Amino acid sequence: MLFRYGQLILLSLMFLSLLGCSRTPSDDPRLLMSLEQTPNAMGIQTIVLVINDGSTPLDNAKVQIEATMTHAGMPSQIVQMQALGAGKYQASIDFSMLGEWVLIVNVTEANGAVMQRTLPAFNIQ
Amino acid sequence: MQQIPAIDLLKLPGLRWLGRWRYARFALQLPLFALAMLMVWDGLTGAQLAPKNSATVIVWVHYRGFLMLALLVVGNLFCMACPFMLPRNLARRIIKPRFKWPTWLRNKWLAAGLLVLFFFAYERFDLWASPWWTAILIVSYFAAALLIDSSFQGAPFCKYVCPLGQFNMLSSTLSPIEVAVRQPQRCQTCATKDCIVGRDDQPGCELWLFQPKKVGNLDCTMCLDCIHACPHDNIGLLARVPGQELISLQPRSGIGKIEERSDFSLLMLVFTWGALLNAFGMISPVYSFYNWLTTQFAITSETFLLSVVFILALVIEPVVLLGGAAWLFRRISGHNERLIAIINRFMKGFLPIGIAMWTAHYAFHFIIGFWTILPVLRSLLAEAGINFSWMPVTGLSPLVPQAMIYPFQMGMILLGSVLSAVITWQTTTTITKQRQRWAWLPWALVIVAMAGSAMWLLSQPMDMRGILEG
Repeated sequence: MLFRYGQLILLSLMFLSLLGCSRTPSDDPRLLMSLEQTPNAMGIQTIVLVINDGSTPLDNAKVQIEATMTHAGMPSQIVQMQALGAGKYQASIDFSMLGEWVLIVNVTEANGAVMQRTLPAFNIQ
Repeated sequence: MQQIPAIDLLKLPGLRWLGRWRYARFALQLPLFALAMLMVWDGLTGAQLAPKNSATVIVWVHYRGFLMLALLVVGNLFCMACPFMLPRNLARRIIKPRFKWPTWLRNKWLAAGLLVLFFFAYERFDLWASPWWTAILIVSYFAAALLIDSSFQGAPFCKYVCPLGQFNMLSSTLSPIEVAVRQPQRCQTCATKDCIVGRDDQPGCELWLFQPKKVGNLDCTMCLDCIHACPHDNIGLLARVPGQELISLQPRSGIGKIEERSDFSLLMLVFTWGALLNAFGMISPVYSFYNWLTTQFAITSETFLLSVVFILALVIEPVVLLGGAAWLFRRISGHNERLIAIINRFMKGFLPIGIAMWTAHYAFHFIIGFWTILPVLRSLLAEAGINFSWMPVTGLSPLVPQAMIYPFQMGMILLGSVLSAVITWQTTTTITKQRQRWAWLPWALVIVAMAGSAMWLLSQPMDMRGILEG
């Protein structure tokens, strides 16, 4: 009986150890990113993303943006952003459904460094 | 004239092994168990963005849609292959349950309450958007099944507790197949009743359904135990007319008469009105309603706001509609039963429209989001060092053209309404001989109101966000 309880405790500990794990890398804090204007209406909208490395605008980077909803079941849109200069990048996204959206930004700097950042979620109403 | 025997799935080539092989259910459970383990691991440790995690994508997009379609096209396949039963079955090889399920819990009250609790938790904790909570939900199911069925004899978890099982069993009343006796006359000479008591190491029905007296799919998990236990090979998966069991007034083995059980009525009510409530939680007007409530009561507590919506949808609305219909029915027909007894008799008639609404809703997500599993799969495979970069991650189209989805949903609602109308009409003609058409009218009006609500809900733009973020 003691052996059975031991097995149960061992299994529980194995499960609990999963709770503390994470396989996803945390966001790189080095680059600062913000949207000039947070999208809030349905339909195709042009978004402008401002990226700074410290106080310096980040130019000459390849920036890809993925727009998706916070719930499962809606296909993502992945778009290459167009550089405008002064650390600004632009893309058009079709916000095709009401609800909570997130933008995931993938940046490849000129020196080859790669980073990913998930911007705070926002509502399309 | 000799009656043509019903088609038996277990006699079809390729499916005979289900009836013959003792470990058939185990073989069906194993892949789902592996999938459940993957989802728990990914849900707890993977990306906490729902579309990027297999737990949320598989559970809330694929599983639910496939479940409803399978229930309507075949039968209760999920309960048949239920992964939650696998550790429980293995544990029972070591631990023999000592206790009997308490008599006062041998009903559907607890299951109905848990179904409400599940719907509430789904909205309150945004389960559809949380891989972590989805994983915890799966683990909780495993733990509850293991704990309850390791302590109590029989299968009390499936019969009296599991909200998912109740959902499946209610939906399977419209399934085209059922576990049934092939030749009833053969059972008349059977003295051993192995289908319920078991034979050698093979258990009989743990949900206490005695095959010769079993009616329909209610409380049947299609576990195949009775099929394997019957020494005469006299039980099969037989084709039938979907919904036929909702017209039957026979007492059901292990259940009795559902028309006289208020606990079953409550379960069916939660299932049916829950279908509308669940869809209401996903459209824009719900946020306007929350905002209005907030201004009226000056309370911003999510739990409070949700409770108000739940009380309106699952208590006040059905009480008014069903109570009103029962009162009018009694006035018109001169029937002298209590209102609650009348509601109990008619409640099963509303199942088809509930099933139709769940199907219309879940099929929408299934069709729209079917291919969204590809990016998740690609990412998981990449983690395992397998490069599937050819697999598309964007530009994923729905399974069928989007323009076909709404007509399909309307078709489902109309079909469900017609079936509900037929069953309530049949109930009316059984109960009363007085002014039958007029007596049926109140029930028909409730069906029209529900169908109208369902169509309105499905026509609204979908809007998925946290309750107070609007």
